Amino acid sequence: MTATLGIALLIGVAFGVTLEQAGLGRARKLVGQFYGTDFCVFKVMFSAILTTLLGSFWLARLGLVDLTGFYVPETFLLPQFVGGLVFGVGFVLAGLCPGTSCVAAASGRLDGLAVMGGLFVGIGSCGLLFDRLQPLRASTAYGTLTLPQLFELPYGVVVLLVVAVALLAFRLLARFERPA
Amino acid sequence: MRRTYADPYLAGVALGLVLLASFVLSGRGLGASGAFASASASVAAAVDTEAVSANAYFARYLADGGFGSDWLVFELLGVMIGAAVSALVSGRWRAEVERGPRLGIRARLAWAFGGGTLMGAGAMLARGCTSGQALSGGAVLSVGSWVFMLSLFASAYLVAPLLRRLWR
Amino acid sequence: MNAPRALGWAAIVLGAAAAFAGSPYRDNPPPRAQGERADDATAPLPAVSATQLAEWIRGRQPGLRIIDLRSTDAFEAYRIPRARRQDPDSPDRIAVSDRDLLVLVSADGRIPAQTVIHLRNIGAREIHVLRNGLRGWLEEVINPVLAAGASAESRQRFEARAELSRYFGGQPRIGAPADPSAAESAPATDDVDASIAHLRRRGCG
Repeated sequence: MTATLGIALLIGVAFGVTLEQAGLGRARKLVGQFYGTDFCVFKVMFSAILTTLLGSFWLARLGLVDLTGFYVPETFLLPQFVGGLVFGVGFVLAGLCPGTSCVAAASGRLDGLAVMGGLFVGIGSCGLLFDRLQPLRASTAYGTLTLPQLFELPYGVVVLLVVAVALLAFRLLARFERPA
Repeated sequence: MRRTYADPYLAGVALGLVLLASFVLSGRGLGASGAFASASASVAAAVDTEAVSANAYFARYLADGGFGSDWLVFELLGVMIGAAVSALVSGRWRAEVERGPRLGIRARLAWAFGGGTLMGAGAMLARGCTSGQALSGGAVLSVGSWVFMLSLFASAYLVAPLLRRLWR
Repeated sequence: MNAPRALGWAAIVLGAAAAFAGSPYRDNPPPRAQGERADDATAPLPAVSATQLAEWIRGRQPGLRIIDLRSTDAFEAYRIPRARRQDPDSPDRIAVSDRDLLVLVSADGRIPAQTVIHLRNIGAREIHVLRNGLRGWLEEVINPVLAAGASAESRQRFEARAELSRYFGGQPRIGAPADPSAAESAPATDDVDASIAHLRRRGCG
């Protein structure tokens, strides 16, 4: 096993521990977000995004890391929009997403195992239909496009905007949350 | 033996630090669906090698050495180890089927499988899932990742009232 | 004050400071044009290689603006990441600032003189033209080919370019092109589609 894969394993362990400790291995807790009883997913996800966003900005600004070395997923507008719509329906049906289904399965939840099986079949059959899907999947390609480039704003200003919107949302969610 | 879950904000910050470490150490974010793609490519290759090498989608996953040497596969293996240990230590490991109060076990497993299939299709089109696109791509401000995140939550919130029967 | 609240304030402080902290990208100043500001408005533009342009895009070169002067159809079929289209017949609709680093893209590297004159008149200082136009981009960045019997040294140089190529979804190849004449002709739309189809796989899906 190479060092890279060793790092992958370690990062995965830490990822799994934080998801499990947050309670994101349980479908009923996850779907709470769709019925206004538990916004745990949003809180975890956006505190994580803010942490990474601020951490990477300041590490790069202080010259400790090179931000261009961070992989930015390429933008394919239409397939990512359509994929999101399909994914969202599957998310409500399954109550788990791909990462959390593994957490659920590993903590004994058999429904997590069923979701993992579905993912395998879904991705596999789309892979078999690759030639049919590729025209859509490769359409509206914008390469590596970031929000600062899109809005022609400095990176730091976009960071502040994301922080402001997320913190505002945290406050609003606390008001709307009705624990079951 | 602590059974209560961590504060979501603190857990989120911890998750953010893990994600940041992933970017700094490997130059890439976290992911999940890619490991399933790698697995399905390897299985397909075992069934019919020739057809798979002609399939550009699978061939890419096999080109780097396949299932046994894929970064995401090892990362996801780590996720399962970490989650199992964490659940055991916190006294939360339990063999059961999580389901809504009105749903039978078989129905829940069937819906879970169906949901997984749809998420697989969505992740294939969007080149990633909630981990790889929404979380990791979102944190590096990729436009496509934010589009995916917004459309996924918009669609989930639209269909959730129709699927209330599954969960409430 | 509990921990989440303290973290919230920390995020506000770090976020607000970020807005005034400048660019997080490392400085990578572009090479200045030779001879600086030519007084002759029709002097030929400095050419930039496709590889250099690719480095600028990947390095998020500050002020970089890529202006594609090709037809709408050609632009819709394939565009260089971050490029904006501009009709060369109405250059007066281009607005630039003197801090912009302009790179003009045409099909073959030739730029209408009136576009250049207009850009200089409205204050553009750094105007470059992409060498060999979009064809140069496809040949150098998207589909670079290393001759089969290349020396170890050029093989090493090629690796750096191949890595850059994969970043833009290209398909670096080793070995002579199947048909030497095919490499000379302008790339067909199919090639372009095939090129963007094979994007580097480092993401989740």
